[in-house]
This record gives sequence, C-alpha cells and structure tokens, in this order.
Amino acid sequence: MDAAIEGHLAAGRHARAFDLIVPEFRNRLFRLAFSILKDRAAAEDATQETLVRVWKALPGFDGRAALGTWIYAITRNTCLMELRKRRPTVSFDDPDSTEAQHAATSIATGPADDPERDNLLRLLEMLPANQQQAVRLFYLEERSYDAVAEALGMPLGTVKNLLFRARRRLMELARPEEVQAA
Amino acid sequence: MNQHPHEHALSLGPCPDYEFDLVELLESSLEAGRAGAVQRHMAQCSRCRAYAQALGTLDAALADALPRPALSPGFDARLREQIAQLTQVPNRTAALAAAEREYASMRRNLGRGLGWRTVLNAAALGSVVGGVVVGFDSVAPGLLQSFGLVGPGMSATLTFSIALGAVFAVCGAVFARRPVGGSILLAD
Repeated sequence: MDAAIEGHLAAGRHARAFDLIVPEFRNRLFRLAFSILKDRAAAEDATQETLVRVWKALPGFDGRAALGTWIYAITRNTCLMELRKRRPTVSFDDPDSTEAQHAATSIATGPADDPERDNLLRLLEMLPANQQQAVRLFYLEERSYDAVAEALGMPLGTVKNLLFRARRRLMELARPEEVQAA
Repeated sequence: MNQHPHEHALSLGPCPDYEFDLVELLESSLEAGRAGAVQRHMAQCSRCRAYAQALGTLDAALADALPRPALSPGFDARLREQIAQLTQVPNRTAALAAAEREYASMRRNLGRGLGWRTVLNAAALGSVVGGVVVGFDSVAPGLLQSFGLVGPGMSATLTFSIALGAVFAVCGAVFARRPVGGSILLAD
C-alpha cells in the first residue's frame, strides 16, 4: 500500500495518494491521538485535523522521511496543540493531586462501574505522561512494540524500556493496596 | 497481619538479573535458549515465579481495563466534506459579498476625497464671488442708480445679499453631488 501511495506522490497525483492514505492511516492516527488526548471525541477531531493538514501539505512532501513517520509527527503535533489549548480551561491546578487524578480518570473512562478496573486506571494516571501514553498505545495496538515505536517516533528499545518501567511502577503502586486488602 | 508467602515473595521483587527476561518471557519474545534458562530459574525461585504471575495478571487487567474506542461511522464523510470545502471555488454569494465590500470601500474613499474637494471648491468659489462682489460694488451702485432702481443708501445691502445668495447656491450644488449610501446590488 505504501508503495502505491509513494508512486502516486512521485507522479504528482496527490489527490489519489490521499485517497489511499485515509483508509491506510486513519485508525492508527486515531489510536495515537486517543493515547495522547484520552478522549474519544477529541481524538477523532485531532485525527480529522491531522488528515486535513496532510492533504494541504502533501504537495510539499519531499519523501526525505518515511510517509508514516511524517504523518505520525503531524498527528503528535496536532495533539500537543490541542493539549496546550486545553490547559488553561482545565482547572487541575495540581496535576499530582488525588482529585485531579480521579477527575482525569473519570473523564477518560466514564462513570465508575468496576472498582478494580477504575483503581487500575487511577494508578495508571499516576505514571509519567510518556509511560501512560506508551501503555495505552501498546494495548490499543494489540501489544505491538513496533507499532508503538513507529507511532511515537521512538526507537524500539526506548519503547520497551518505557513499558518495562511503567509495569514495574504499576506493580509497586498496586502492591500496598493488595497487602492492605488481604 | 501475616503476609501470604506469595505476597511476601512478590514484595521482594524478582531477581534483578531476570526481571527484564521475565517480561520478554511473558510476551513470548525471548530467544529460545534464554527462555529455557529463565524457566529453569523460575522453577527454583519463588520471587521470580510470583513476579511472573503478577506480571501476567497486570497484563490481562490492563488489556481488559483500557478503553479501545473506534472512529465514528460518519468520520470519512465529514473529512470529505471538509476537504471539499477547501477545494471548491468561491460561490456566487461569496463573490457578491466580496464585491459589496469593495464597493463600500470605494464609496468611503470617494467620500474622503470629496471632503477635501469641497473645501478647495469653496475656497475657489469664495475668491470668484469676492472678485465679483468687489467689481459689482464699484460698478453697480452707479448703474442701478442711473436706472433709478435703488436709492443711494441701498447699494451695500444689495451687493451683500447677491454675494451671499451666490455662495449658498454654489455650496448647495457641491454638497448635493456627495454620494449617499446604497448597495451594489441595487445598481444592477
């Protein structure tokens, strides 16, 4: 598929290339956007915004970077801009506070109906943002390290290390609660 | 409260040399020879066994807990619509609106120019009328009196009235040319 897209791009058939890019990338871009924004509607808007930007910029794509790398970078930038826009309106003055973590979890997951699941998601919110994002994307991408590395624009080893540290931290965070519950 | 042996082993953590391998073993990505060595170690090490079991539980819980949303069915249609809006040529309404704005701008510019023109016209006119009044004032009294139309004391008042009337008439004509508001559509 990538070869077909690149063939159209090389021939200057940008509209036809875009017609192939949309079905090839839209779901992957959406999963990446969701792992960053943690909100379905915002992720969908960011995916649409990304593809519009791709459409506008496609005539200037010079092929120095791989097409996927380029498109994922646009997605990450679009999501970061969305997060910056969001920051002043979100009243999480202290992002480390328990209230902020509870609020963030409830925004991301909806109403509480499974205490164990909610507790795990609450613990996940305590991790650094890059670890959270790697964990979310890892499971969205059916445990594919390669897919996560490509989407995040990171070397494979960096992604493995992020996930390794995230899981170790989650187990540390979960342990006192298990001991207390016993 | 006494800890369960499994929890005690878990709280100690895995053997440092095996921690990363235990993750790769769980993911079935460990090279076969190393996987065998790790499994033999686990058979003898309760800490690593407990850690591997906890890793598996965490992995299953995360896979179960994390939401996996999908794009809404109308996504493609909305995207196409947005792209179409960017590609289509401006429609008639937009073109008319642009022409309307241009016409209004021209009118404003014309109004500004007319203001200065009015002042200049009035000055020029004042000079002409002044000249006529001076000339008339020197000639008319004798002329009018020779025809017996006015008395000797009336000439200054008459000439002033004529001059003032001429100034008002010319200024009125100039201001009457100033355009009024309107729409380019009405001009069609």
